[in-house]
Amino acid sequence: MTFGTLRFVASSDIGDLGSSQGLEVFYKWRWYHNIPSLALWLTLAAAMIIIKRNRTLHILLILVPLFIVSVLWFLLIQMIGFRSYADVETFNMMFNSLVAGITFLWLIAPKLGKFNPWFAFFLSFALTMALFLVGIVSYHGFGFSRDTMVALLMLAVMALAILLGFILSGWCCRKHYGPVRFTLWLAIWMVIVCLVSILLFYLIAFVVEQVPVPVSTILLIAAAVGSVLGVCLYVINLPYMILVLSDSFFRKRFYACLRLKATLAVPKQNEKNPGTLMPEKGDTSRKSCFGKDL
Amino acid sequence: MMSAKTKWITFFDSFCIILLFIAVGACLCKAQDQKSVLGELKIEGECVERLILLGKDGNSKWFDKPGETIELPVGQYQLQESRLEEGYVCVLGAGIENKWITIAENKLAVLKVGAPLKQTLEVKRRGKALVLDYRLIGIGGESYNNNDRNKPPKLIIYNGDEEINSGRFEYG
Repeated sequence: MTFGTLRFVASSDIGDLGSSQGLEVFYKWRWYHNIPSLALWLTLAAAMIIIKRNRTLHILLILVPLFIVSVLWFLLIQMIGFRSYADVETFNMMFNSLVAGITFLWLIAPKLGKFNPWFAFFLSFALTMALFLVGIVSYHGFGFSRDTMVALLMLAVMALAILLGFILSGWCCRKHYGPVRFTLWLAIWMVIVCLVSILLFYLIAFVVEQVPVPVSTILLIAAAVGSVLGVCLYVINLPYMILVLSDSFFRKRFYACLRLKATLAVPKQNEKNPGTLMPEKGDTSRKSCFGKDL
Repeated sequence: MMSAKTKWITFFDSFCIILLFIAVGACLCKAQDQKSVLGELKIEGECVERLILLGKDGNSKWFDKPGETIELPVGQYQLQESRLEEGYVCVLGAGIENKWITIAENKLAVLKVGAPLKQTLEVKRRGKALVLDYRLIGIGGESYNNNDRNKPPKLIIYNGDEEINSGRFEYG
């Protein structure tokens, strides 16, 4: 493991134009720079320890989807074969921040279920963004460049797509809930939110920068980028959804977050319908799927 | 009905008017040229082969092998291109900042451009990678490139006194 003060000396024969040896530059390479995602994993470990309901061995199951998507990501990076290792590290930063963000959301889920749904949404968005910032700082340091801001914006779009995707899918399943139905709605909403966010981002950039490119081209690029981003996000999120919907420990969290707990207590009303039949509006004997706020 | 004589007079009158316009235009241009007052610009830097300055009116002024000072009409200019010996070039938008110099009558303006050049390195961390940005900087802060790609700059990395790696930079 390399660490210590590195000294860089550049040289080139530039004739009479100046000295052939450049200025020496020093960089302090610390031991933790060899594990740039360490801060993210430490945050996840802290969430596992600090939140009381996470203090069980069962919580370690959340590391399974994390491991699966990490292996898939590693294989994808090997397949693409980037020319520059710095580019690989930028993508690694975005990927690790994103998966740490998704894992973090499932770890804090028991706390979120206690709040008003919209407050829970903004709180989880703020916490996820804070985690993304931790990822960015651990990978790039504190010098925020234009590239860093673009990466942060892309991560913000993905966080928004995940959270709004969950809320809107839950809203679409408010009458007939079913795991497959929910995951299908989630796919649709994640792609739509990504598409709309990227479209808005490109249009704002187009107006601010006044790029001499036709609006139709911008719309086409934004549509392509948004769709790809949405699909990638869904694929990354899918192993987590499989765990959450198949394991009772995480399923409880999922139902609590989306206010589905009360409806699960309702006995099966229709044998042919695999989904849970939701109560009609105005039926005060049972709580609505998302409470009155949604 | 117009007679032949009247037609001839009308043609002659038009011809005179056109001549008069041309004469007035030429006089005005000459007066304008006489009005353009010159100022002096001192070049602080060496080895400059060619200098191109862009005026605020959009016209460029070329100076091949400029001396210590150059004369040019008063106004505002910015460095558009600087070409040094051995093929080192910097152009506006790629190495030159958008900075205006005011040339005034009886006042010596100064432009810092050219050698001696400094070889600089900028180090940025990207995860486990370090991105090294090499630049050749002139005395005015302008950044030079060379089209001859056969001799990329060399780099040696030391950890303490021990050399741990070396290589050459890639262009781009």
